[in-house]
Amino acid sequence: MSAPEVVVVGAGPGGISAALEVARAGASVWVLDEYPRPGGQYFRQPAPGLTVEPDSSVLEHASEGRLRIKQAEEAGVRFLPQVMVWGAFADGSLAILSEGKAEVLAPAKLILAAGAHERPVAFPGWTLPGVITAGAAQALVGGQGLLPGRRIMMAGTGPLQVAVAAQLVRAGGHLAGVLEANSFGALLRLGARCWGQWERLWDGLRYWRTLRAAGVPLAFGRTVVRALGDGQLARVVTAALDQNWKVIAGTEREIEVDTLCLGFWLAPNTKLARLLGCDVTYDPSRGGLVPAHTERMETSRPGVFAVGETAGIAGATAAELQGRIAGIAAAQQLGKGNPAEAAARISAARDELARELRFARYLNDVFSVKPGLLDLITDETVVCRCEEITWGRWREERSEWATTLDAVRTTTRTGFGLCQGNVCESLVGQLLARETGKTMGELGSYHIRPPLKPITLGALADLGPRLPPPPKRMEH
Amino acid sequence: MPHDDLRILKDFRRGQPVRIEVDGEPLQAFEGETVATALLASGRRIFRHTPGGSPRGLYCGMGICFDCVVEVDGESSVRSCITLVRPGMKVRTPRPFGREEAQP
Repeated sequence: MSAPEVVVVGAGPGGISAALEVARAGASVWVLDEYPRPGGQYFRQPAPGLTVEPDSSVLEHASEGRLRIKQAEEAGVRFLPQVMVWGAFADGSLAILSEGKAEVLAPAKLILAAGAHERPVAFPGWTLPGVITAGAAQALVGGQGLLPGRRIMMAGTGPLQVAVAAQLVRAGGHLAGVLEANSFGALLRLGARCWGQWERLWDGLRYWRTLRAAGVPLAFGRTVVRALGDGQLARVVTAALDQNWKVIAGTEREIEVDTLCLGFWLAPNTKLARLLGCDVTYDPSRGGLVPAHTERMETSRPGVFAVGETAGIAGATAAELQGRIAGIAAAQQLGKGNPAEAAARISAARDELARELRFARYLNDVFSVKPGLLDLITDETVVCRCEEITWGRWREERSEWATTLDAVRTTTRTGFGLCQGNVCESLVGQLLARETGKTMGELGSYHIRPPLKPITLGALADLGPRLPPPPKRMEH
Repeated sequence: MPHDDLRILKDFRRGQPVRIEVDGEPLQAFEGETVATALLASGRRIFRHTPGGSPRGLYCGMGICFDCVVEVDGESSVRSCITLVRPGMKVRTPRPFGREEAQP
């Protein structure tokens, strides 16, 4: 494989828009993505072989996405689907796995647009088959044309789960309820802060109306506190929450469902940035642990850019604007494009972006997970799904001196499993913050090493001497 | 009991049928479907048992959590949520070591 000048990791709105700018400026660019089709979560395309009616209400942004992908391809962008990025090295090169073969790419510029994942919320029974994330439901319905179950409960916080619930209803799914953990009052206050964001308020209203019309019960200040079933989900227990999301005793109610979708807002995917040694900070207004970046979306590591949810939770429009900025900037560093025009376009995009980020800060604030919810975790509740470490065992095995996330990882083995901390890191972080009285910022993060994802020894052996040295360990 | 009712008919048209094998039993899926979709559509929600013996299935649905891993054509820890079915593919839903017989 002869590497292009620029590699973009992630083919969602941010990655596509970044690649388009790079290609238009005349540089070669590849976009790597793990899924079978480009588009990411937002511009999701149905899997190859599966066709969906254009303008289907089941897959809202697919047509828009198809247009963006086509536009990028026509400009010369090459999309490489089903490619897994599993490592990054001191010289800035990337290790990938494509069709079972490991390869190393050494692009001059790297744009990280790896998106986000649902913030984990643990409670008794959350590992039962039938308990999935709202993102999983979205991927199944839109990408696969499959309903996740026959009787679905949605619980979480934020507009995303309402959008997914509406999508499930439009696809013919039966929803037993949608539970928003925030009180109605807290949302009204958010609404007031969003005065002028008519398009968004309208979107929210539209989803709401779809749910009302289908007779789906909506509840505020309520969530699922237990998932029950023999081997798989059969029932959930819901309860009312106070302002701090602490369960109000005596409000429990049991309801039969076969599927529970959890949508507790999002956390940025930053592992690749961290593996590359980019500086990260803990910033709740951007959704948690995020890479530091310049006005041109360049991280602390020269030539490495971060855009979209990876750079902080801010939505698809912000991702596209950030992608545009990074794409123009990366091309310019390669000596491509017209500098005066580039500066003007970056400046215009930044003005638009500022508005988006202001809005995102409100959302990240209102839809943060409040600490009361941690009280749902009992001694028997699993906190690390991969290594099956329960909260009771975690407390037993954590040494007194282990007061950072990385030290806890070493002593308790949370984050040692297949997902390499993707799921448990923010959850364990919140628990550790409660135990130690430290802030999330003081806890640091798991130390990241390659491989980020499991690869076979055979694939690794094929790579042999071409494997570059790993990045130096970051000093804490 | 037919489980095909989870496949959405409205607005979607499926590709060619694809025959795979799950734990030795034949299963019909469709081109473009992931292994997870084929399992869920057939009513299988338990994709594996952990070494500790607890059942697991689909969770994140986007390749992040590795909870939905199955064995595909002899390769272990394959994420069923992002792996597309291929004709003749042999899928095994893992059991903990030494418990092969204990499961139904």
